[in-house]
Amino acid sequence: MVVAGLMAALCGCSGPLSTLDPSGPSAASIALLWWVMLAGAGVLFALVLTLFLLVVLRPGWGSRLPSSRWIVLGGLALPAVILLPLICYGLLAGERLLPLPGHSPPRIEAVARQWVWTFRYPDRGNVATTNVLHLPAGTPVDIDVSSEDVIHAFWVPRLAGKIDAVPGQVNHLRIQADTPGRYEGQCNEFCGVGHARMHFVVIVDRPADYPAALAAAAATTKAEP
Amino acid sequence: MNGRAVPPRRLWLLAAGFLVWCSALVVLYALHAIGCAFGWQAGALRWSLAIVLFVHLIVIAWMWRHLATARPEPKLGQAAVFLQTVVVWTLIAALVATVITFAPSLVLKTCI
Repeated sequence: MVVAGLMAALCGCSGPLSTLDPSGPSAASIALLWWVMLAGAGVLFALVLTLFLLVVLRPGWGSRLPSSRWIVLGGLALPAVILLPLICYGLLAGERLLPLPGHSPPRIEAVARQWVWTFRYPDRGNVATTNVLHLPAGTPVDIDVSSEDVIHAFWVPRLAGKIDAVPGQVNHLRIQADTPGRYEGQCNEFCGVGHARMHFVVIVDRPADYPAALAAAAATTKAEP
Repeated sequence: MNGRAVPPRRLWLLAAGFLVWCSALVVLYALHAIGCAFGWQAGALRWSLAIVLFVHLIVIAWMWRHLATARPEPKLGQAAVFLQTVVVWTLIAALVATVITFAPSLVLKTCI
């Protein structure tokens, strides 16, 4: 049973939708934050379990300390020592992920509607692709995410965090893929009966191949009814 | 049992600190969103957020001081003393939580 549980848990460490198998700076930062939080939670869990076992195995252990001190040390000081650095780390990591104005990377519009993603490339003659997003490798790209109907969410777990697609509003997500290859994305906000099937493919091309690959994909999309 | 029962309406005091915390959350969230939507200057928005946060901290601190120095009615007995102790600690917790939760919004990027 333990082996089965470990197998099930470890399945999440890789695969097309695994946040623990990052392939870009944003996703790597998020994955590192996850590992840091896991380590913090592990330390707290081990400390609590140790105290619990000491109390069970040696009845009366710790009774010399008054209960108010146990509450302050165990309930306030201990979590604070672990959680406050985690908060600081999380805030700094979040700041680094923001698509700050200043340098203006290429833009791609991601428009969601039930249950299709349309990607438009204003810097490439405004061509469009459906359910396939083409990105150049090693280059940051700003994704302008919006929706035509209900709230969706744009998420490519191996490349960046998710961001909501809200009708009437454009949200920005900076994304970068380090290596060429095929990745997968998924709508990450329940948006109706077709939500589970609202996924898309992200194809990361070498920069030299990107224009031709995008043109070919756009021509295929145009040819479709 | 010693003394009379504590009036049930006084139990609301247990939630008082975190009701102010809730108010800070809603007002700061709304102000931040409105400021960014209308393109306010980062400095003006930051100062507005700071003032709102400061006002909420003052309210919690005032409640803390008021309740910590108030004497429980002797006729209500030990229950009133216990209730007052718990309320004072919830106010301290609310004060700390308000600082930890909302103060970072004053130093992080306001709008992008």
